[in-house]
Amino acid sequence: MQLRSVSRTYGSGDTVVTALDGVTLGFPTGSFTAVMGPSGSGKSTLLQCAAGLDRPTSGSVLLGGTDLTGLSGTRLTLLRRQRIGFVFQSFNLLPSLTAEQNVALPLRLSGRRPAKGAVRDALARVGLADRARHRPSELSGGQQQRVALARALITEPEVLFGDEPTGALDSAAGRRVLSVLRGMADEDGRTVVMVTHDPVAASFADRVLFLADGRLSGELRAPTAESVAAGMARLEAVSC
Amino acid sequence: MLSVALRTLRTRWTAFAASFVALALGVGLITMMGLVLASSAHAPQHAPERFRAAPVVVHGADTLRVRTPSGVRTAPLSPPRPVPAGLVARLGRIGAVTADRSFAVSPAGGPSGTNGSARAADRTGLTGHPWASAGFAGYRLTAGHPPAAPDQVVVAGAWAHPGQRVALRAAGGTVRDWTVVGTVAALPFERAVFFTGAEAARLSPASPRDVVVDAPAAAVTAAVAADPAATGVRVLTGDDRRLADPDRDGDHEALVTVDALLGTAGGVTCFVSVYVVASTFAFSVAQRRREWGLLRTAGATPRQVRRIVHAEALVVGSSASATGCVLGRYGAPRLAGALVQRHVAPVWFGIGGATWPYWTAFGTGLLVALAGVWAAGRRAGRVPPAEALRDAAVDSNAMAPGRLLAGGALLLGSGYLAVSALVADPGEVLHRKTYTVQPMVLVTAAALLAPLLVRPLARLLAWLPAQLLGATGMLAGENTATAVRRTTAVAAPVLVSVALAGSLLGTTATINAAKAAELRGRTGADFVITAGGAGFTPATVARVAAVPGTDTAAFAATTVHTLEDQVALTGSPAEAASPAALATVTRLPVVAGRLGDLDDHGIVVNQEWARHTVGQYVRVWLGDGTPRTLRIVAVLRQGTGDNGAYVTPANARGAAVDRIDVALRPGADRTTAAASLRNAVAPSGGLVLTDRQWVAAQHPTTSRQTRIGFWLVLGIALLYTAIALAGTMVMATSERTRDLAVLRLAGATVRQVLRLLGAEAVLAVTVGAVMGAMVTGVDLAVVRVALALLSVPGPVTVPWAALGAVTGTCAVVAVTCAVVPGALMLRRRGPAPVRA
Repeated sequence: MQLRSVSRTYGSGDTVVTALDGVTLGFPTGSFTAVMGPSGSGKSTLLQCAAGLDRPTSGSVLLGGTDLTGLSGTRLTLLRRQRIGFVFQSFNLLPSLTAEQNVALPLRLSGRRPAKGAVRDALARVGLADRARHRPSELSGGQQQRVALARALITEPEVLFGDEPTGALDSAAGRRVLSVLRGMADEDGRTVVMVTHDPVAASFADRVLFLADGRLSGELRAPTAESVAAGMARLEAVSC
Repeated sequence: MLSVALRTLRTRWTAFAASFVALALGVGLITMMGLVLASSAHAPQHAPERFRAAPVVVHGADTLRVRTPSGVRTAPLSPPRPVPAGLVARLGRIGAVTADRSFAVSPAGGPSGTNGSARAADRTGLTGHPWASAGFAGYRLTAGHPPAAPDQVVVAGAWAHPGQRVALRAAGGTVRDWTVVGTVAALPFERAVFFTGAEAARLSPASPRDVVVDAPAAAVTAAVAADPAATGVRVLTGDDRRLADPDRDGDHEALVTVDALLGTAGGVTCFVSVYVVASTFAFSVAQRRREWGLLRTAGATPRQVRRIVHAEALVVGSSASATGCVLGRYGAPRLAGALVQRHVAPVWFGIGGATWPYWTAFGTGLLVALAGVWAAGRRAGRVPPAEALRDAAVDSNAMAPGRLLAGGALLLGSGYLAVSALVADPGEVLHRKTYTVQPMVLVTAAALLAPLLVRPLARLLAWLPAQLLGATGMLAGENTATAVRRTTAVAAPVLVSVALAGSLLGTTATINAAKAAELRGRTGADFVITAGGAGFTPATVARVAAVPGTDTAAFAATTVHTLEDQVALTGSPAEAASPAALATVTRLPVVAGRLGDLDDHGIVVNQEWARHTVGQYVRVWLGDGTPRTLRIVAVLRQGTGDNGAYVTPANARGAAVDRIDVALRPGADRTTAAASLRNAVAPSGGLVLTDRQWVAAQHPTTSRQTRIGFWLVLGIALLYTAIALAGTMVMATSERTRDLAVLRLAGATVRQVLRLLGAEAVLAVTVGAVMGAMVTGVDLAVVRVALALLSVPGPVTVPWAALGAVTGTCAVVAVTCAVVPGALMLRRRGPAPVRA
């Protein structure tokens, strides 16, 4: 996945806010990248543009040779449905559906019947095989986030985006979610991109990208919680 | 608190729009009906018309007066009695006397020969009078001269001109040609034709009903009082002369009809508007649980939350009620105009200046709004502060205990009503009052208990679509079944409309079908001959009876009055016929006694009568007011009711034969007989029908007013359902931003989301329609059981077309109001992720 000089501005005239300012970067297949930065640094915008949820003002987003910025709304939805998965800080499950039904939803939306046992397998993969018939309100936050992960997995996406997936979870639940993400990169060879605030969460990634004022301001490979925290402290000292 | 409420109203106006519209419309309708009712209660005493230029009018007895322990009871006489000949002669000695006769005249080939209803005939028909009485109504010649020979007439209006020959049938006689010799300007209350006095007396030989005397009123009154035969005769002067005007009875009946119609419609409006306002308010309060939680977190006490809800209702209620009063002010004259145009109200009917309808309607509106939010406010006050922090979840307690209790009580109540009516008096179930009120009780019960049924029904209905490949069926099913509150808010109004339509129309159709089956069973005739407005002359009856190979029974419609429980003077329809003819030509369901025993001292009654034992004596007043004590010789089965009694012609003096049943003797040829019968009645304009044709012609017996009333009721119910649906759907959809965004994130296209919204709307409407059909089924079953208990055959008639139309309308409204706001919302937002 490649981003080429992607810019995104909001508003117009005097009130223009530049959220992304000519960002160029790549996410190699099978890598696990964490994106960090202070509030307002543009990390969520970066994620949304990369995932095709938002359209860049200029620049292009390439997923395996397809330019997402050139697609119509419906084609973009179809592409997202087939090749991209998401998890968010708020778990975004449909409250009226059971865990099982929530997981099967993307497949049913694309008019496919889930393969026998696929839904169960996806739930088992995130350790929730015994919670298939529970509704979101009957699950804990960590369990709901794992259902969301299972739902992202069911379509076998090439890229999985996480927007602070552990932000609403305690550290134990967060770790379970992160190890599932890690496994998706290592065992299935999927590209995982995650925005986070948490240095511990970031330390699960292969590399950490630091973002400030809509621009890339640093990169850290094989991060540890300590080195990430140090990088963040440096960034915040600069921006303040 | 009021300022908080006002600010909330400004920002969340969509949530209140439905309540506002429903309330304003309800108050508008109530104002309108109140104004019309006020005007009918104080109907202007219109000035005398027919005798406005007459000094003193002596009016034949037209009212039966019976003294009872609780006062004098009255009933109209049919036909009214003429002024006795002896009295006319006596009056002639004190002043100049002019007799007025009124009799039906129809253009040849006109109404009396066609299959038109009697009412239509009355309206298009002409009224004959002697020329001498023309001046009392103010008629003046505009051309030509008065009639001087038996074949000369003067007509009112411009439909004929002097010198023209017109073919007319007068007073049920044969068609003849008359020469128009003059014209007068038409007056609004009748279409007059004037004959010479002698010709009028020849055409309508019964003594005159009104006699104008040119003498002092006191002398006339004394003369009438001195005549022993003049019981009930009235002397009319001044404004009282309007009592002799032609459509007096019609006016009175028309106003009673208007009152009944508007009373029913007003009742339904109150019922439905309370329901809709309460449910839309409750829904908007329930939708804002999070907001109440936030207020509670910010330190508001439950009491304060409740006060905010009440303040909102007060603001919405008073502004909507004021709007409604203005609507009613402009609507009332239009309603009155429409009632006059449809011949429901008399021509002169108009809106008076009463102010109480405004206050009543305003107060009702405010009360409805406050009553509607009372329960919702209590529930809002009980929302715990933590609610603000919780995610929207599946509705768990849509069924409040109070609701369950009220619904259960009403269900038991309606069950009790139905069973007790069936046990005590099945005929009661077939009365209009019963079958319009009972469904409402059951409908209310069902609407209250709807949350219990919504979940299983939605799952059942969505089971098949959910098996399909796509996500829509599964999602729609789950969303509908879990969002019990939202689904109920949509399904309950649909339930009300469908159940009212099904029950009211289905019950009348079923009863009509049963009446037709009953009529078919009772008619032993091969042909039925019906007369136009004036009935058959004895000569015609004799000609029909002389047709070879047939047995005939001539019937004259009359009325028999009885005093029930010493207080109520009840008029029962009765037929006068000869006993021999009854026994040979009809197949009346006799349960006791013998029809052949009927004589001039006897009567055949049915089981509806308070006394119905053969051999008992019953005190009656005949149609002309004569008191008689008759012996019950036979008792007929009650059947669907109102099937009437039978007396001999001697006990129905003055009633003209209006129907002749003809049975073929064995071996007689049908075609020949039909032709002979047609020949026999041709000169008098009777209509020869086969038994089937006749039963079919009697079939649409639901009166026009009843039908207008039902359509009015249904229209109101449907209108309110549409308002409730639109309000609920718009509110519900705009509150589902999050759900829809999540769906989009899960990969749904805009089209898929909109299809889902549409499918959910259709599913919720279907749930309501199924519940409505269930209520209809119960109501129709009760009617069918009642008919079975009365041993009347006939099918249960379900008004599928009306049910389909109501459901379809609801579905269209619901889908539109779900999909359009959904589409706007999706366009605004795009697929961006949502945060809590």
